[in-house]
Amino acid sequence: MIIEFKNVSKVFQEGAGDNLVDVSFSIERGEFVSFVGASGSGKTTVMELLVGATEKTKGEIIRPKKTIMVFQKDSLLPWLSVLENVTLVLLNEKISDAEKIKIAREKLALLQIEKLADKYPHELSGGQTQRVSIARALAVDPEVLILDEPFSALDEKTKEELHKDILKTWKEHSLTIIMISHQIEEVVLLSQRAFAMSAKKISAEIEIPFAYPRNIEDELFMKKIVEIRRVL
Amino acid sequence: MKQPYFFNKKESYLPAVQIPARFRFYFTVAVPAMIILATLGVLRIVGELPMLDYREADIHTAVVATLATLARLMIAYVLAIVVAIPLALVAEKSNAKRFLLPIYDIAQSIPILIFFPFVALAFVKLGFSEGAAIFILFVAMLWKLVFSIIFGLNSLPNEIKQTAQMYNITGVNYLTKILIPAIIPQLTIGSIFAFADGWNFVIVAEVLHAYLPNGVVANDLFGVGSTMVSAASAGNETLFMYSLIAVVSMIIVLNLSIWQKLLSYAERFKF
Repeated sequence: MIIEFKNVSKVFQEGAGDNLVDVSFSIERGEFVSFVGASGSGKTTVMELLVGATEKTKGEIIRPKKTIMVFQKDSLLPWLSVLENVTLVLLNEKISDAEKIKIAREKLALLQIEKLADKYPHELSGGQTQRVSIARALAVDPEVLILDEPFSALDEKTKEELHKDILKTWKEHSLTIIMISHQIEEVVLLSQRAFAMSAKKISAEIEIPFAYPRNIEDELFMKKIVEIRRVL
Repeated sequence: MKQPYFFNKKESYLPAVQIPARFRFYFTVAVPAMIILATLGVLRIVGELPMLDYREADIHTAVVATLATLARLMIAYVLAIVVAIPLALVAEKSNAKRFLLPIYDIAQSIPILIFFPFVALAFVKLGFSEGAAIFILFVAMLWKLVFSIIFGLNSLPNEIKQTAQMYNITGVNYLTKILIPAIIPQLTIGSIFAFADGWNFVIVAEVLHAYLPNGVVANDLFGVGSTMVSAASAGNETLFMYSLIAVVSMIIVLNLSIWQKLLSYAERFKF
């Protein structure tokens, strides 16, 4: 097991509706798990607790140190080039500058964006920006990669390409991936297991035991979507 | 192969001076050299000025007076920037924010000119009346800059703060690679407003000082303000008009050659 939440609560304000109450779950190393739910259901709070961006009020959290989150937007520095944005996260690594640049270029190549190395964020499309964010996350060799609504701002074609790239990266790096999404189809397409969240609690845990690549027109695929929709 | 600038030891680690090629010579050599030379030159000229006869003074006096005023503004601005950045960074720390921001807010709302007589007397006693004007200007500019920087820091997206935390970008790296570049757009806008306020204050200060004490014309705060008021009282309308044209021209030149270019450069630091 790589991640475990035991009866975790997060109280923002006593008696307020945005508190997270008594959340428990565990995730195995190498799994692709999703948290699905409507806006305000508590997904982001769970992720912030996971990366240590906010402190729990009670309960116990087990998580690896190298847990990296890729945000939906606004996480690249506009004054740095793509290559600089990636190498920036390696500043503390005790390796040579040449090695840092080599790692950054390798990760950019992995996501097929090595040609964008000298571009600036404002010159990139939404899909390219997400790829750079993922390449940057991979540069520090994370144990857990959290994707926060990674495809919500992308067009269908870009989304499809990025789905393939993420699945490829997940398998090649034996990563543990946690994805936050409000799109059920996407969750069924990519993850092995999903936690449905509503009213700041996990309302159901759903197994998605299909082989990859998945076919969205498959009957079982459609049934799984209906099953998740019911518990939300 | 192009390397990230922060690995290139020949260049600064400060992203703020990682200037695009087309701006590089301009901002790193031409403008600072022009400002330093002008400041040193003008202070030297002013230091050796005899008591002027404003009935006969000409365009040369108007130009030197405008440069003297600009030199005062530049010195006060540099001092204000040096103090404003740490003040804003300290106030941005969550545990200090609660009590420092109200203090700053009260401090900035006190009209600075009420201190002028005390400050002027104190500096005159020390034999450094120039210091009074620079001090008043410094305080007038300081709060504009502090609040601009705080606004810039507040507009830093949460995702960036969380990204820095996740990747352990802390301390000097966080300051130089993230915070300082992030405040450049607001700092530029704050600087424009601070400088505009500075022109108002310095001219008023020079005018007031020219008539201190008891209507005796003083020449130790020589600038465009004192020249205009002395020209008017000496009946030299030509010098008055030259001074007015000189100060307006100087403001236009500064705006076109520095502030507009800085605004354009600051675009790349916007989220």
